Amino acid sequence: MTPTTPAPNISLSQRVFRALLRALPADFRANFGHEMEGVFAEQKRDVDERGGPLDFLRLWWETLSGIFHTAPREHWDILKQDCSYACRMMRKNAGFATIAVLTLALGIGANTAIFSVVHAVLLRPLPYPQGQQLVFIRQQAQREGIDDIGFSAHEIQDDREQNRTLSGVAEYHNMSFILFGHGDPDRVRAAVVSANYFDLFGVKPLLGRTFLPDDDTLGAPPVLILSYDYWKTNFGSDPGIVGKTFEMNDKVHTVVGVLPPVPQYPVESDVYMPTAACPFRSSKTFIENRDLRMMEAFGRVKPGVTIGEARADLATISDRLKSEYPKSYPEQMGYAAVTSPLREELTHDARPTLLILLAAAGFVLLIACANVANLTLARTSRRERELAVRTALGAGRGRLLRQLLTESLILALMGGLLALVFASNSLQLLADFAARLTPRAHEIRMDTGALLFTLAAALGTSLVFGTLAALVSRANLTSGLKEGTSGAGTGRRKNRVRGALIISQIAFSFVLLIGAGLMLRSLQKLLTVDAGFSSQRVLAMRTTFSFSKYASRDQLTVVGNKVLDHVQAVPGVLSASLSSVYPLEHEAIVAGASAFSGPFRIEGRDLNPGEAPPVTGQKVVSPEYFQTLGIPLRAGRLLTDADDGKHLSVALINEAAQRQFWPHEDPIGKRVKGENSTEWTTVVGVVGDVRDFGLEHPATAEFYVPQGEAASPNTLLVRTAADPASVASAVASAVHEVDSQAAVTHVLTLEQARSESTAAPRVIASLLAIFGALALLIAGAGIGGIMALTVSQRVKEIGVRMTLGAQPSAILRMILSQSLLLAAAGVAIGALGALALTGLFRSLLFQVAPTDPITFIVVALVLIACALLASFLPARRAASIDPIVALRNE
Amino acid sequence: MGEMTGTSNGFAVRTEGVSRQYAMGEALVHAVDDVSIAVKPGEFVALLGSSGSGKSTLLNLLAGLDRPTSGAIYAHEHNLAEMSSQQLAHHRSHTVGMVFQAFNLLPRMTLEENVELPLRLAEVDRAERPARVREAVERVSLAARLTHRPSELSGGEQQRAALARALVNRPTILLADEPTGNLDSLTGDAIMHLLQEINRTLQMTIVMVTHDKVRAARYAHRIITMRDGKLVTEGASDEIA
Repeated sequence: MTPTTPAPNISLSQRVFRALLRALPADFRANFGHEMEGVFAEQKRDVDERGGPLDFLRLWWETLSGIFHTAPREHWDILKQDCSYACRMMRKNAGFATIAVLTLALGIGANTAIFSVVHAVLLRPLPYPQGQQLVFIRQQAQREGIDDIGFSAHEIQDDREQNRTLSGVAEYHNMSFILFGHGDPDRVRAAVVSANYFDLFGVKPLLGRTFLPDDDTLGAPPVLILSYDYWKTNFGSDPGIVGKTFEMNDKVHTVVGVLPPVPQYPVESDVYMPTAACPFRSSKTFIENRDLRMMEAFGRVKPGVTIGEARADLATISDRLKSEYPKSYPEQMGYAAVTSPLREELTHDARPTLLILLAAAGFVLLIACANVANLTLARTSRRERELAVRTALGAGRGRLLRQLLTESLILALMGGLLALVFASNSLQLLADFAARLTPRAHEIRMDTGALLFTLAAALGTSLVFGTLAALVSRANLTSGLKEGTSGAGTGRRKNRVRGALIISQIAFSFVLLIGAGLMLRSLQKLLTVDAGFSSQRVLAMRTTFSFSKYASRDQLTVVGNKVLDHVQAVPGVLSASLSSVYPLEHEAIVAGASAFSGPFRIEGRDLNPGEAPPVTGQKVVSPEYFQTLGIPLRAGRLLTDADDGKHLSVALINEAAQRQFWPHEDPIGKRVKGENSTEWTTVVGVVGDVRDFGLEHPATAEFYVPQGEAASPNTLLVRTAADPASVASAVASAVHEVDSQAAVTHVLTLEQARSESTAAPRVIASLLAIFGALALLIAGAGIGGIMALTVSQRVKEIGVRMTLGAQPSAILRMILSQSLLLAAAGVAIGALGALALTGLFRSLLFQVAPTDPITFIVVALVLIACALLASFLPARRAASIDPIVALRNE
Repeated sequence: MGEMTGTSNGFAVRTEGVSRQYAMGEALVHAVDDVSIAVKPGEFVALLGSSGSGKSTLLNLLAGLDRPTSGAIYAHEHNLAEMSSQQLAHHRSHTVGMVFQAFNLLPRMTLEENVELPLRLAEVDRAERPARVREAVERVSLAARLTHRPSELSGGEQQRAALARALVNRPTILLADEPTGNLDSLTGDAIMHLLQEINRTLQMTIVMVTHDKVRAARYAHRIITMRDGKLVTEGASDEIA
């Protein structure tokens, strides 16, 4: 046997040798350690007596190589033995193994899938070289609550020239144009960027080249770069696309490159063009006017410069511009430049949701761990006698624990493998969901990070439940022979651990179900909220006319009216209208109400010095808009064809505007004008409120101005007598009758738009509900299993109770109340946890408080009912125990 | 203790041609075969026989733990064979008390809780229970061990605790299945003395299953011998001995 107490005169060499022996398995040391020490001592003596330094080195070399050659082999042999034994045990207990593997697979799978999303979106660096140096610069009108008012060409040039912290500033804005030369006219989302845009991001083209400075000079031949998705979808990944030409804005554009699949921000674009090729951006007015703001700006901080330094630098420039051009920066608007890391910008919408989902998945894994630990405990209880016999035959405690851990590890690895299948099958669904929250969703995939995570989750899981089971079993190993006859491990400690595990499962399930319940309640309220318009049987489509063909506002109004005339003649069409934006339009929701808002003046109300002007949204509509969408008139009159802006400029307002600007007055007849306008507009009517920018957002102040008075609307809205989808092609044909080159895109019904607007909360609610159901299932199975085990352990006790006169119903009640007690404890702890955590949900909830009592009560009842249901079968079995048999078996 | 007097026709318990058969594989086993016995109130009867003679099965039938295949069992003239399972449970909790060879105390409970258990099952008023428990444990001289668990008691103490548990509901009939089987001779004698004392002082009817002819003769008033499920001999203990 290996001596454990060092002899007082032991030499340093022997101590080192004994330490080296620790590399060998304990059993091996126990069998051969003493003998090995003896041999080493003898060899050492020989060397000391006869050898020189070389013999000394040789002895240690041979000793080291001997031990380090033997140790892995011995460990490997034991591992093989343990694995083989574990597999035999699993075959023998196929039911246990199947349930454990499935439970772990669900827990690890949910985590792997969510982690893949979190990893791609929140953790992985941006797919650009030194992506951490990239910043997004926005200009805010803080006193007006406008988060991003945009930059003018002048301002971007100032930032570019005056900054000391950035290696480059690139500009960006997006527009829609019609691309000709590839089948039907195609309305494309075009990103208009400065020539240095791709260099700033460090994006290398997949094909061709990116923009050169010469491409961005006025009069240069127009060039295009295609996005990866557009190239793939519309040109079948044509490798010969570079050099091909297309017509856009009456100019021939040559494709010079194709981008790799990289996230595009702020929105996905189909094509990229230099600023010089954009008919608006390249106009003299735009270039010379400091107040025409519509661009975004990106920058890259110089190496060694922090984001904070860049932020301060750009803020200083902003302050300088404000003093140099006070007219362009009215104090009451509160202009300010804000700089933030691009990675943050790309993910801030997704972060809270994904972290909540990751926490939910983590809870599912914890529940699964607790469940498998309980199953393992139950199984080791049944194996106590076998383990005790092995102890009696000489197996060390460490050896037995190692065996138990190996079994746990194999279960967890099998669960991990199955989890990968579950995760990879659900990943696309999650990626589609994440795409609503972040452009980085395109980067989601099952990669090495996810695989490592799965492996770590499996190993961690096996350690958690395996160690727990092993530690709790440890105390019973030696007493197993004595108590083994019971075969059920009646130790109080085990029962307490099992009870604690069940309580923890219920508590975690409670928190998860509260999350799911709150989201479902919120969703239910969201789906039934009055949006202020009738979305049934309304078709929407984007109609884009060539900017060069219809250069003036009048021309666009004329062609718009022609389109309405043709569409209204289509059989099945009840009414048709045009608008600049329609309720719950996806792009509008993404951009937010502030993107469609601007300051204005109310006649007779002078602003105090420093007072911010009022702000309102503005929508350009044709007169039939309100009839088409079923928006009620509250006061005054609706717009008519006569309101063409040529005589009296008029507008309608919504009730929110009336509440905000004329709370105690009749707004009809009041006059307003835009900040930069010279003409007064008269309010002629008040219409109902519409939740334009999301069902969860109350209507904001809105002015409806007739087409002809502002930029022409390009969304066609059609109310139909029957299914709107059935007349879609006839309506598109009617548009093409007016102008065969018009692009008709984004065809969808307002029902679809409404449904689409609730997709994100629906998916979050669904995922949480799935996790909750999973947790409920696992916890239910856990409670059922533990109650069944309890009954089998308490057969004798139940027999005694029955002998003493207990009614079967009393036995039933006894088991059910034990389950009820565990469930109640779990619910109580879970409720505390939920109260502490549900505050994180606040931003995701609509008209539901994070402490909603109905949700808490329903979830508690569901969990308690689940616990009782799961315990009913074991309880019924307990009630039908034959006392004679129970006592005889003992 | 109350409810310990006899019955209208003079028998605490009696059987009429009672049989209990069960199938074991394809064979039909006659565990108890046409047995008729009658036990008077306050009588101490020993059921004697070797293993498999059917004495424990007969005891289980008297306790209402099992139902006869045929025949009738009367306890205070109520036919157990006609009782519902609820009525049988009531019979076990109010009319009979049982002690076993293996004591069958519940290991997680203290002595006090074990003794109190039948009172809880019989839904005796909570306020009344402590006095009843104390009375029962004092009768078996275990008042000082109330807070101990069974594992902390000796075999004899455990059996005395079981006896206290059997007495606490003040039954009229005490059924004992090999009460000394797990005890050494000295302790076994002490338990038998206790049973005898209970029988004498409380006038409690006792039916005891045993295979110990000597003890049966020494303590019981009457001995009923069984073999292969049948009643073989019946008579006063001094006659049989």
